[in-house]
Amino acid sequence: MTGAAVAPGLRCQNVDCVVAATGRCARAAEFEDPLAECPDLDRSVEAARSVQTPASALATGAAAPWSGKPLDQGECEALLARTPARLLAVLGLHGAGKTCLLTSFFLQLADGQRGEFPYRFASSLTLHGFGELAERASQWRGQGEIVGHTPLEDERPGRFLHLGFRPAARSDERHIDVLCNDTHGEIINAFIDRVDERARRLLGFLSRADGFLVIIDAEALFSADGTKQDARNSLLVQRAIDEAKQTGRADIPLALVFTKFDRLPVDQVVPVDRRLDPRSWGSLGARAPRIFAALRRSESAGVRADVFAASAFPRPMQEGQPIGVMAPFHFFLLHADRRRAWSPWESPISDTTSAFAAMRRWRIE
Amino acid sequence: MASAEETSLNEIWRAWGLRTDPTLAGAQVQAVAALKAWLAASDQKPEHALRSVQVILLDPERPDAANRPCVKPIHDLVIDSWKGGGTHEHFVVFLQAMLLAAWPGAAATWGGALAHLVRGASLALRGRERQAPRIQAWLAGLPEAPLPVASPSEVVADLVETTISPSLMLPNFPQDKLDFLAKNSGQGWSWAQTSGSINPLFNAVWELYQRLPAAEAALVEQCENALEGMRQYMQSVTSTKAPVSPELDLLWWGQAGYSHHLRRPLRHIADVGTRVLWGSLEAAERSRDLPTEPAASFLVETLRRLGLDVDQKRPLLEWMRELHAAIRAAPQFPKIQPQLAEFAREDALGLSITWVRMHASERFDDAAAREGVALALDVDVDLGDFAGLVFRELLLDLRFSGMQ
Repeated sequence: MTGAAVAPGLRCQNVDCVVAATGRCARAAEFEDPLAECPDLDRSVEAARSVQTPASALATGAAAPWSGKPLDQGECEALLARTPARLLAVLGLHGAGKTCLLTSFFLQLADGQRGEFPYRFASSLTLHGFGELAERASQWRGQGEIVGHTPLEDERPGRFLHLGFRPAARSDERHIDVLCNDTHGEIINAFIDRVDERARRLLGFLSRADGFLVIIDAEALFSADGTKQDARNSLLVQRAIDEAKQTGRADIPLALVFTKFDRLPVDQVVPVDRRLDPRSWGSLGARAPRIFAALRRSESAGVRADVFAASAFPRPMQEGQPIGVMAPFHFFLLHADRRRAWSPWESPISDTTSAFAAMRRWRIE
Repeated sequence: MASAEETSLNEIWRAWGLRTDPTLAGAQVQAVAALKAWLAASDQKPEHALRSVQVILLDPERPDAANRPCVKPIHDLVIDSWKGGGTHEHFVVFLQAMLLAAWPGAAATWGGALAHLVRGASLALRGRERQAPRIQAWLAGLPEAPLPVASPSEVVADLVETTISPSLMLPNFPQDKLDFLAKNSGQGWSWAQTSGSINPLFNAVWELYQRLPAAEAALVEQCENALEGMRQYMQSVTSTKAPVSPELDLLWWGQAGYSHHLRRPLRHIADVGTRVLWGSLEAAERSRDLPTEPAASFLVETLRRLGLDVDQKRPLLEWMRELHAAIRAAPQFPKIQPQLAEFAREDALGLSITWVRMHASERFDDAAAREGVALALDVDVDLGDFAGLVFRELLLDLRFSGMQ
């Protein structure tokens, strides 16, 4: 975990802000000067003596400004009233690896391994949520589920993970908020079938999405019901394109990610400009004809699509690094955080040169 | 039925990806109404409109955006009228949407008429893709300074000068003119749109004209006085000492390319920043009563004619540095007026030129400039657009100080 250590003598009053394992401030990069600006840091001696542990915080009932748990829709609305957060819609069938990909991305970024990704990790309002996922991932030994399945949501809509970024370019001082939904695969299944009112309500945020990440279990495409997986995922891609089109915005990015790529009997590098061509993907492309056919509709729908291959946890965390995880997020932000200069205005000129206006001016003079 | 502001707010809300909450509609309407009233006071307090423009231009993703001084008065006002409407602290995007919805409150005020002089700051805005279309449309719709409102007596004077006086000057009033007056007495003239609805007045004048032969001596005397006034007026406009119209004054200045302040031709000034600085000042001083954009364009064309490469692009920060050096080297350059200085001292967001003028006596500090102006100063701006920025902010200074 990167970030500045809380200075000696200063105590953070918000137990959710400090990474327990390291004692480091999780929001350090969010502020120009955390010690001066962060309301949770208290310089008083009393505060220094009475640093709260999670247990003592609960006992005293001290309310933190944010819980660190995944955000619900109401909390997302509150965030959107403060900042134009980028909302990344993460869609994938049950077991496709949505949560694993998000967890792996967080871990890599928070560990400073951003590679060519042009943003630094700055903050997270859902640090506990990510922390729990990371904890489970760290206990995985190569067999069984890695982070477990996302709980099926109750009637309260939404379960979002938050990440704050700072652009790597020093001249760009912004703090960018990104929200990713972490939705149970069953709800996505119902969404594909277009018949489930509850799924429609729970995924109501899609109309506001700034980009789509469609996660497809590549390994499943090679299984016995691979054809069915191809058909089902192609419906998901079509639904995602429809939703992107309905946002009414041009060039919405849609990143299609084949996960568990390390488990496939393919090992080829696909050139960037040929990633939408199934032939470039060899046997994987042959196993996913409907998915690629659905993807071809993206251009006419005004959607900017690209295809990626990733492996979030190819080995237990202590033994290996993730593969290709940053690329789809990079693609998303490349489009969702375009920094185009504003076009010059063109405005009508008022008629101050009419004969009467001129006459009045002369009269005054 | 939803008010225009409510409809507008909901529309902005949706465009910016915010969910409309019917349970908060009442509180929102109340808050927008409070903002509208606050903006309507821009006639007497132009800083209300200018602060609002600053908040709308503010990038919500800038560090500490919610704590900018320009946000505070608007934030306090909304919080005050919200009365537990469920809003949150630091809601910059929310405030921006409400300000846009409430802006018609400022549209017809003098403060509102100053707003277009600040929109040059949008040259150094980037991104904000959700917000940009709506804000850009609003910027484009900001009107130039409104026409002075004509009083009824002025309108009558216009009519006397254009109808009665000429008729008295000509013993045999031509029939075609009479026909023209008769024909138009019940219809609107094209200039009627400028002077407001004056058909009833015109009809009254026409009636008066028809009754003139039987008019009382007093009326005749009044008309003769009007005639005398007209003669004097004609004399004054043909006299060599007649005041020059601002258009002519600006044209003459531009053709001459001469700096009256420095008492030498602008082309003799080698330094680019200095030439832009003084050229912009001279043009601004002659453009107080002129439409801003054509005047700004005329300045740029004048500078081009004087040999400057107005298409040369450099980051705004570099141009600011150059201007800073030019002002430092010109102690006789007019100091910023107290009204604008006080306004910008609190928060100079978007006022890059004013910020440079305010800090002319200090060393130029890039970080302080970025923080003070809160724009993307790495954006490339061409010299012509930069000269336009200098011109508009100098004009803002002149007009701001002139109206308080």
